[in-house]
Amino acid sequence: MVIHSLFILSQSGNLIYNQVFQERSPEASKISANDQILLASVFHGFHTMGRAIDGSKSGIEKVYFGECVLECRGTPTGLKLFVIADRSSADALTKFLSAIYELLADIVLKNPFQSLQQPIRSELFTQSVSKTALAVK
Amino acid sequence: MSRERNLAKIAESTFSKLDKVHSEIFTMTYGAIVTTLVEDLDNVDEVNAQLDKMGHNIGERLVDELLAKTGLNPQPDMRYVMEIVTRVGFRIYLGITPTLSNWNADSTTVTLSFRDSALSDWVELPHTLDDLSYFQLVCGVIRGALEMLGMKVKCTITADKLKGAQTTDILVELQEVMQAKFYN
Repeated sequence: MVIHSLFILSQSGNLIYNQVFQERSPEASKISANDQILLASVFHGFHTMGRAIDGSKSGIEKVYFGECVLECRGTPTGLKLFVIADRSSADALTKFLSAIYELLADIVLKNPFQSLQQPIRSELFTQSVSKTALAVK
Repeated sequence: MSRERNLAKIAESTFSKLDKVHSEIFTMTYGAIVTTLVEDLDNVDEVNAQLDKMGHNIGERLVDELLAKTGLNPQPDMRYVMEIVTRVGFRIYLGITPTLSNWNADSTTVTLSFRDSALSDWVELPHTLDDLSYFQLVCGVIRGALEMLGMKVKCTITADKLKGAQTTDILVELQEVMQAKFYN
């Protein structure tokens, strides 16, 4: 029952936040920062293609691979939050992403010095995300 | 009707979870912002423009909180979104529910009417500020929030309680649905 990593993409597809839960996921933490940006961009591309083909608004919601699952939540404002976790945590991820979206709205967007397109560097946010991730059973 | 009741229910349960602030602190803070702008800027049009811009910045940020806390997931559909704005947005942030009226045939323009609002309690406009739109920040908030949902709107104050009208009315006109933004 492990959450490996969390990504947040801005409306234009930039990676604005990314966190690997290192102590619980030594494998995921071996991926370099550059590769993580690359992964996020690739996902953004597929997600956009998915929406264009399907004509729906949601795009890719879940991807299963090996022992893992990726779940994505797109917001009506164009943000994308996605998480990679063990399959055993799959049922908890929708709730987890909702909790992260609330943290983002409260901690990040209410900071008047945080611009909407800029990468998120907030210690409080990082700590709160870690806490939420650890609580996922 | 059931959609409206449903939104009202969502608004109440969200409202009960949010932190509250004494409305007079809010009224005085907003008053201080407006009077400071009036002192600092040369003319009233400039003050209105600044209030609108500040509102826009607020709306851009508030919309995500509303969506995150209510779990609503609206498409850019003017009727539904305006119902959310009035029944949920104004309810949870200002404790009021303005009425929607005068929808045009193709659902692109509507008037929001406010009977009272904490923003303008105790305010009496001096005659030197006849052109001041005291409520302009609210117009900006609506504009900013809807822009994040892909809807470009124009908001105009068409009646002002501070200038003798029965209600304060904001005319919201949909100008463009920005689909392309999400696909590019």
